[in-house]
Amino acid sequence: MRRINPVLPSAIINNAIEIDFIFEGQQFKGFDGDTLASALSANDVKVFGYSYKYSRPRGIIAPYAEEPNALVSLEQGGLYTPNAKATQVELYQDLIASAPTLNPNSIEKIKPLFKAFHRFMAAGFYYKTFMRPQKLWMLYEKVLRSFAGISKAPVDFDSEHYDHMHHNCDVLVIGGGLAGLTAAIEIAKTEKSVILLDERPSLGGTTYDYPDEAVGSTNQLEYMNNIISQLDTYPNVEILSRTTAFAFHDENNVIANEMRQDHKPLSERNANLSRQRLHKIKAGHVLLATGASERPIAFDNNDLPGIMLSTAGLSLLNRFSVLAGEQVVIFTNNDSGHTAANYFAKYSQKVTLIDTRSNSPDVALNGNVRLINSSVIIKANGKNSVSSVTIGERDQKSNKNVLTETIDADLVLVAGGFNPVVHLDCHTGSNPIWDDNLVAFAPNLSKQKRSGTGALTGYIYATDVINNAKEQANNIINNSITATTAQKNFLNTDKFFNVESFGGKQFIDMQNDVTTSDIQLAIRENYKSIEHIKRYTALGFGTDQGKTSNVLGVAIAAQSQNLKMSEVGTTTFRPAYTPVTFGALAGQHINDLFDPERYTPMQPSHINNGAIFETVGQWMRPWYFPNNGDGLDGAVFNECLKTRESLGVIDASTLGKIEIHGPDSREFLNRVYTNSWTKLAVGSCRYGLMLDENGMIMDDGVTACLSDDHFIMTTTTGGAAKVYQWLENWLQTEWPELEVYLSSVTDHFSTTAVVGPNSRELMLSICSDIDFSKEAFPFMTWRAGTVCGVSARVMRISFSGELAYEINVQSNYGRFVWDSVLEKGNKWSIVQYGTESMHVLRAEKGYIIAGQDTDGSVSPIDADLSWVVSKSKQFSFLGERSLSRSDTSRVDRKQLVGILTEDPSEVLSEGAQILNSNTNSNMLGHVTSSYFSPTLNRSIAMGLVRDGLRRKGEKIIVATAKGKRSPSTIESYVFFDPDGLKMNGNESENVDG
Amino acid sequence: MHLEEEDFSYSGEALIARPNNPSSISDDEWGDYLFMRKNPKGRHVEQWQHSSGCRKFFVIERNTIDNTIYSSYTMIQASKEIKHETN
Repeated sequence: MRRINPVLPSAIINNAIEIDFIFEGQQFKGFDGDTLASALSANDVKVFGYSYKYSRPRGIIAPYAEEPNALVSLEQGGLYTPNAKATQVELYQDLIASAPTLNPNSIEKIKPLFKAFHRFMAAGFYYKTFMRPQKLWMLYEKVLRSFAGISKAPVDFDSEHYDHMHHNCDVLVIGGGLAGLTAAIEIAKTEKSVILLDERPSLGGTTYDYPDEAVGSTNQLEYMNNIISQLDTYPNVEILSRTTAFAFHDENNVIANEMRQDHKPLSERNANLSRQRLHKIKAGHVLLATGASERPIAFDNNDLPGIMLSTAGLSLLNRFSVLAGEQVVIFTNNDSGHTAANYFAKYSQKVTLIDTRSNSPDVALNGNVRLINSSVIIKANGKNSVSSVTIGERDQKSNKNVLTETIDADLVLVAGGFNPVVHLDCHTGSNPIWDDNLVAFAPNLSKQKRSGTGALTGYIYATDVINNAKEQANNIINNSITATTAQKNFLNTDKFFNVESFGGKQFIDMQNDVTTSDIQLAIRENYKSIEHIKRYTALGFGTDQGKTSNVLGVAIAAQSQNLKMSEVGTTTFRPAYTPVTFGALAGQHINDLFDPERYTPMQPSHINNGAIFETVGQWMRPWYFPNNGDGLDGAVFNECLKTRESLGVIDASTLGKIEIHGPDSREFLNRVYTNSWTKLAVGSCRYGLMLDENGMIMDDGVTACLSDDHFIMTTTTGGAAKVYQWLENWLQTEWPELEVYLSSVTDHFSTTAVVGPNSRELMLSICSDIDFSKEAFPFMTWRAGTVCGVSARVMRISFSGELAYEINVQSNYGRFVWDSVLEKGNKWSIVQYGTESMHVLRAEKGYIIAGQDTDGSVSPIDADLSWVVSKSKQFSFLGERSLSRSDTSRVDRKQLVGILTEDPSEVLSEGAQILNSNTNSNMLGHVTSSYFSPTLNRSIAMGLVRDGLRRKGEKIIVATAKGKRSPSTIESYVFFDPDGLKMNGNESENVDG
Repeated sequence: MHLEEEDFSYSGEALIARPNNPSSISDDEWGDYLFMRKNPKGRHVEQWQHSSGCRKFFVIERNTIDNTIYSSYTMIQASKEIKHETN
């Protein structure tokens, strides 16, 4: 190969700017405008890697995104990029690239190992060989992956950043070739807003590859440059180059990824700019001008380096001024091979054109080209690259070929016809249609507000493309979209896909080493549907998604089964059109911006006090406070014991709080809770249980009556948003007659809960305007007053079984009250505790946590909470009817029980299975909560057990995943203070529920 | 103007009326209300909430194949204008 000098006028390279780069540890030089593939080709590099199954040498075969072979890894560390296609990588100063399968060490290791297997390595080989014994599969897989011919996955954190942008436009044009540009400028004249996307660095599509093609008195390259400069003058047109539309979703939502910095030298990349930007575009109309990509023709040894698609050879020649060979053989089944021959005849010593057709109509041929009609390449010869081809004459009837001659060749261009790039059109579920005129799958384009133009719809020559693009543009302007594919034969393409094999390997999918005989084998083994063939052979599974191989695979499947192409059909094209890095999809939604974090007003104090946090929903809650370096267990031991002995405090601000206002509030509560709210007095609180319509526990919490038409409901921390939406839903859709107003006030109030026998003493020291005597302020009531000088609602409720007060103040004062309580509490050795101790304290008392001890299949009867369910309410509250359904009312449902292990030091795993102790099998249920109780100095657990309420005292076995069996007993779930004596702290008092 | 789909949340088939007197109907009838949904391939009348916005529930008719939205209704309009077909 050589660089043609002077550089061809159509080329986009600038040979005044030399660029140094490293490929596989070796220094090379290229020019500004080169791709990695063109620069390496100019340096006579032909082998880009070894194939993954047979380790055969492979070179580039395609001009751009279709490339299956030349996969490279770029840069290192946080800038590492795996599996870039060398044909798409723009060269920049000091680029470092390597080919994952070119590493000589790994090749030497692979080769002998795989040589021995070659004759067995047909399709399905892996399934058949490596599946047994199953235990070894992990090992096999690890070894096989290292041979798989693709880059290693990145190990370092991506050091670059990404962002997203949203757009609306009247018309989105996808593809900046002649068709897209022509249509865009027509539409731009009407003042509609237009966005035009193009994946390449320079607009113009394939005009650079076919620069001589005439448009009127000029050529298409000049015509196109003229349009581009005009387009610049339209403010209503936005052009995004280096931007690949990779997903087309419903309602004309198109997602495109813009490469903003990948083409720049590392030293010139701006750390303040994103590397790539994801554009989310909502378009009034989408005009697809995605062009067509060439497909190969299969023949023996068609994978030798030096054999490539004619478009790849033309791209090297006319776009990059690289002559890929002097002795050129072009193998074609259509007119495009003749065009290619004419271009190469200008520079190469010898050009031979092999045409499968008996006569070649439309293109006048350069006199230096030797044309051989009705012939095929039977096989290619050569060791590391092609050196000659064996030609045969084709018998049109028998499809047998008669060997005629061998021709020396250092470049073989294959022109097997064009496939419209239908992928985007298929993303929304419309399948492409086989068109016998085009000899290709044509886009369906049946969806609303969408059309196509250019090569996508069968127009190849510049004049036809321009006419069609103008027509389609006018159709969009006039809102009169009509059917769109070209009616005449596309380049007079012969319906010829593969040469009858002479015993060598014919590769269809080069990335996955799928051959013609693999597809035939799959069919013999009854994998007949194209979807099954794909999965059995891995056809089209690679990073190229079978862009060059798909149609060939379909053709061979059709031949082998005597079916029409349309009967075989294609596999489903799904997003993404080309691979997109995860970073681009995530955009800025990473690290701190992945999900909002919510903090209570006390957060700074918690940090100062050394809290270890856990996330509960989006909330950051103190999990425990490690004193003197205590771990979780030590801290919980201390927190629980001190709270039960004297005084503890917990930040309960995260509980959901919903204000319920309006004259019908009581009726509303009656409907959404299981118990009755009709008589709840002002100043009182009540525990409420909320069911879904299936009768299952959804949430629970305490609601206080502030005045006759004003209540404040608390929900679980994690359930707040769901409950709020649930309540709104019923009010808006089913009960609009109720005059009730809801407000979420979770963030408006902060809650400091003081807990323990000395909590009354503490309250007396910080609040002088509330009577804290048991008579004046009984359990389950609330009082307004001034606490630490701050206006507060104090609720006497408890989630620990201890005497406890929850101090609710306006959030601005939350931290002040918290700090003051900690300071005043020193007198009683106050201890602050987190969610872990809260869980232990409540479990000791057998209080459930909705969402932990319930899972959407637990009714109030199952949870032994029948006492909360009113039987006498007039309105059938949510879920009530379901409680009498046959399945809900059966007695042997899983019910809440306490579990004590035989070994008091053993803490069961939450989620562990509970088995019948007689059979050591027969699953009875599972453990829902399990802790070590410092107060009882032993482990405790709760669980859901079939018919559990009647099994008290029964022996069970708790089994864990690792095979351990723990003998245990079913007990009451109230482990501590079953008579509720501690509820009143140091004063004795009757419990008033 | 377009609002992002992320601003909205789906809340199932619309116009599922809660029986007026649940205790007087059979388990089967109650089961139909709880569980039986049309789940069509094609046009579907369904309820949504503008959950990251005004919090209003509303009704749309959407094509479940390609997400075409034919019409939208407030809850009151929906109850008056859309004839509820029983399953």
